[in-house]
Amino acid sequence: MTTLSDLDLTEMIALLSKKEITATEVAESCLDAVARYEGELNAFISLDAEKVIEQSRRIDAAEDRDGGPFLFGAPVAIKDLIDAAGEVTTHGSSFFRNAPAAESDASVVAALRENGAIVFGKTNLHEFAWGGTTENPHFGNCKNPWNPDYSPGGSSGGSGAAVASRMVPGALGTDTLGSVRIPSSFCGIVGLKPTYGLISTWGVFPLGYTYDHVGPMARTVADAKRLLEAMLPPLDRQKLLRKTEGKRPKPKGDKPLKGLKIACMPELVSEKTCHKSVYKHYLKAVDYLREDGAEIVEERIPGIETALMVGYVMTLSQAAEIHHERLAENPDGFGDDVRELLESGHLFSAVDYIRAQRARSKLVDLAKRSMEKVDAWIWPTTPAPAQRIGESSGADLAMFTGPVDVIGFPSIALPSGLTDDRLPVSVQVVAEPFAEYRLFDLAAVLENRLCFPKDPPDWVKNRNR
Amino acid sequence: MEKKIFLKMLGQIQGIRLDNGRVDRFLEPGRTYDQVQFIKSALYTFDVQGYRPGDEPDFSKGDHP
Repeated sequence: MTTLSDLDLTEMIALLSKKEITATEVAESCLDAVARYEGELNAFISLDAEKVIEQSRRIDAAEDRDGGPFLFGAPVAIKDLIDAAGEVTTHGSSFFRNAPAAESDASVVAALRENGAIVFGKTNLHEFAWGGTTENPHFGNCKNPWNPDYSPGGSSGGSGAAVASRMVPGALGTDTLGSVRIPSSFCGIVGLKPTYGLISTWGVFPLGYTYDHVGPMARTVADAKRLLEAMLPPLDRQKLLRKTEGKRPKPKGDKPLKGLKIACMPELVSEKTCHKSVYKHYLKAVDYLREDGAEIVEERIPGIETALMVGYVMTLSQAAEIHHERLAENPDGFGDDVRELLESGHLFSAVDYIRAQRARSKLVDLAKRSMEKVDAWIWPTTPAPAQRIGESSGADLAMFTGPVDVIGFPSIALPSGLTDDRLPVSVQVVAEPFAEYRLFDLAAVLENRLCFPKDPPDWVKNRNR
Repeated sequence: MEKKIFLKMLGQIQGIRLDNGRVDRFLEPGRTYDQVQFIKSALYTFDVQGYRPGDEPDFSKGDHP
């Protein structure tokens, strides 16, 4: 049975804009999906059905809006690290469970509302966004809609699970070492980490001040693009479009990627560094890019493997400083894993931190030089598929995502296939700063070729039988 | 100095409580202490000569739309 909540964001907006369906009908359908799946998946920390319906009715009663990125009442879930006026922002933490409600929206939430989004609840996350599993000791573990024995990834795991399970067509996540793209990979959806600084982090609780990004998560590339557009001030949208004029794929024709040069990095990505299914589907994606006309070259950025270590020094140190008083006064208020990370952040010195900053400067420089030679890089998103809840696959989940946060370049993750156990795997395409539109076009071509199943994830499908 | 005493002192200097249990856990093979050493070792083998500290990627010089 197909319901309105099964529609992709783009399909939903098309019907909403023509008034063939109402925002209230969509909201009710999404709330029905929540009633079916949330008991098992635990994707939301808070969701007030009355507020959702009230917002929808207001949109339905409003005057028509044409053009632009208007969302016409499509629901968007918000990671509970991001303020939405009138809602408590718990940060997935015991410290903020009973905090007063946020007085105002984060800038990005305000932009979404301005563009007709319904704020559809606050999603579960790894405590304070400091971890990649969304196993949360305070609000319960979030589960993967492909198989609830597995983690949805993190830290934006609730957003990933909510979007993949069709409870909502789009969501916001944050990404400091991979927290939009890791759950997108594990849940089989699309996630964008925009260029550092493109989307305001005002009203977003920090994990690492100089690394945090807010990004859209959705089921298709077109949906992620639509959401990003609704997150941006109009002037930035126009400038972003101009930035990539003449250097974007031409989506029609036999060889849509002709004239583009895309780099793979065999020193970083190999069967030694990746799970076999991740590597197999990554190679398939590279082949498709080649068949579609792109010139594939091998590229090496000396020291790129150090970028993740730089990210760790800076994030561990910054997070330790942010939570210093809480850790000193009430260490038991944190979950075990986050407490240990915060304590370990105190083992780095100012000397280490400055060295990491210098390394970051060099890595950004090297990455810019590499990107002068090519139009994009292609990497896997995560080195392994989702791991069982409570277990570790042994892989460093941020291995391919963390370096991209360090250099600040934009990156889009999209599903590339399924493992033998039917868990999603994913590839990411990285481009120069502010080349988001090139990324969307490139990813759309790849999405067509990869043909990831459009059906709901297995557990969701079985639940509906 | 014994690692255990050093860690307890460091915790004290930094103003966080690291009791014996926490320190023992830090020192388990492959856990916090080893991980921090691994990260530092990678950091200090990366040549940064000629580069100044950059707090955030600076895309402002012609790159920002």
